[in-house]
Amino acid sequence: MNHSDSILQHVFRSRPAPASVVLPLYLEYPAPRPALIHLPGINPSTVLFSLVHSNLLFLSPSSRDIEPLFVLEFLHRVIDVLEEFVGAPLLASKIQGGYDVIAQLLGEMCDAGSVSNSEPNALRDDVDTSGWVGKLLGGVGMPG
Amino acid sequence: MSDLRYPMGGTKVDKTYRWSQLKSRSITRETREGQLPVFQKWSSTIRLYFRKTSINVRTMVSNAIEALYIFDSNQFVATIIERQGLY
Repeated sequence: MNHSDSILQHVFRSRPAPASVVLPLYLEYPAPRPALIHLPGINPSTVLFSLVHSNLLFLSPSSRDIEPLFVLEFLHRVIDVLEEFVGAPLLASKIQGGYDVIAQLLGEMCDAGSVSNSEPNALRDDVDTSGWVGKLLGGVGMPG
Repeated sequence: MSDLRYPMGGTKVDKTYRWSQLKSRSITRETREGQLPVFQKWSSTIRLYFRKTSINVRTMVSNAIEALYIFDSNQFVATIIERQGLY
């Protein structure tokens, strides 16, 4: 496995710079890295938003004008929602084991680039977690 | 004076913005021109004059979140240690 392989990639709109391109550019910056990095070498010119949480690195590229705090707040909300649905602390293995639910969550949270629903309680009504919850409960020896 | 007007090219008024609209917009300029917008302000309104037509008024968009990538930071640490020959 390549060390630069992402554990999750989700495209919301257009054709963003791929993870394999933005990650090396991000790592070129010496730590501590800023939450907002301009990548002029990519066509179209891209702004890369980043957030580190529980040893997980969240990157979100955008090639259009956008309010930076809007994207960073969205990343925080994604983390909150993921912790709510797959459990805190967030681990790579939990994300990899819950792809089906996380794909639904991200699709509900951001539709074609627009943030729509970021409230965990509201998301519970829209996301089908039955199979995943059943698997989780079965794994810890509880009746599903 | 309730409107914001910016004459493009010095004479022609292309568009009028209200102050409340202006606050939601980003005003950018091409730095290679080295031209600064000239600001004039009256109470709650603001008037901008631009010296060159190269100044763009771009609207912030809310549908610009293009992708989300998640990486395991532990893997980067492993990579760095490998490169330094510490393994």
